[in-house]
Amino acid sequence: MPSSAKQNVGDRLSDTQELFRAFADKSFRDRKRNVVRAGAYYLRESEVDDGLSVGLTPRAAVQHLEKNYGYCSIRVGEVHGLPYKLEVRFDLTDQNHAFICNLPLMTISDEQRELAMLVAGELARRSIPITFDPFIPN
Amino acid sequence: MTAVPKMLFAPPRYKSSTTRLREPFVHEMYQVFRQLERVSPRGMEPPSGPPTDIVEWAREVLLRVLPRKYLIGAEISAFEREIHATWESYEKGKRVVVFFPAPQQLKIYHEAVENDAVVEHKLVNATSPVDISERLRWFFQ
Repeated sequence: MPSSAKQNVGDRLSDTQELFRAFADKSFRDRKRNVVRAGAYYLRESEVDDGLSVGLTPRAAVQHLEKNYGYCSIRVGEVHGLPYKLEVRFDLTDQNHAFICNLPLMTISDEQRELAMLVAGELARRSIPITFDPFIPN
Repeated sequence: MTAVPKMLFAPPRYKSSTTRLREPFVHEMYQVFRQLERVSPRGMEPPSGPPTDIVEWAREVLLRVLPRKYLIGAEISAFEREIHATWESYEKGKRVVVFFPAPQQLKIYHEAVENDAVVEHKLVNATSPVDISERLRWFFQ
């Protein structure tokens, strides 16, 4: 599992909260089949300390991206309900932003890579695509 | 002035050819080629993502070694310094991901899903690109 040097991570979110995950890359979604791809939930090395970035609003989901290709939604309860000890926690620096914590980092080992694939697939299947077009908040 | 035989000035004769059309899976090859170009360092601005040697490794395996019929539906993406090739069928509930983490290295992940539950999943280190063909044979079944 990733290191636990979490700096900006606050309390756990309630299961009823809805989250928004931005499509930072075209490969995060399949527009033809109207589905979210597992790639949307691969943890990057730069995200290890805090977790995977999600928004509590669509605006917050895309705010740090130069480009986006739409976004999807997922309930916190769906994330917490998976048997992989995932947690969704508030971003201490932004009340509209949160992190999915404890996602496996695939570049560490083969075991973590296999788990990362499995978990990302589970999250993608539970996600609902909202739009496949760039979301530009007013 | 000497007379030049008329035939020297005859315009070239072009014949239409269907050779290219008979070539199977040209479109799939083109799609994979184009996607590899997109993730290659020169395709990115500023240069980032997978280095050239990993792109070349993926190009060799996908475009020169793998049977062309298996390129159907392949999605190429960059992740950190790696290249991933993904095949996914929602109808069959199957997913195969081939990882190119470094030159001469291959890892293959596959999973099968039934009724929204994963019933099979495994990651293997491939010893040869032939292993990809075997896994994709399963995928296309």
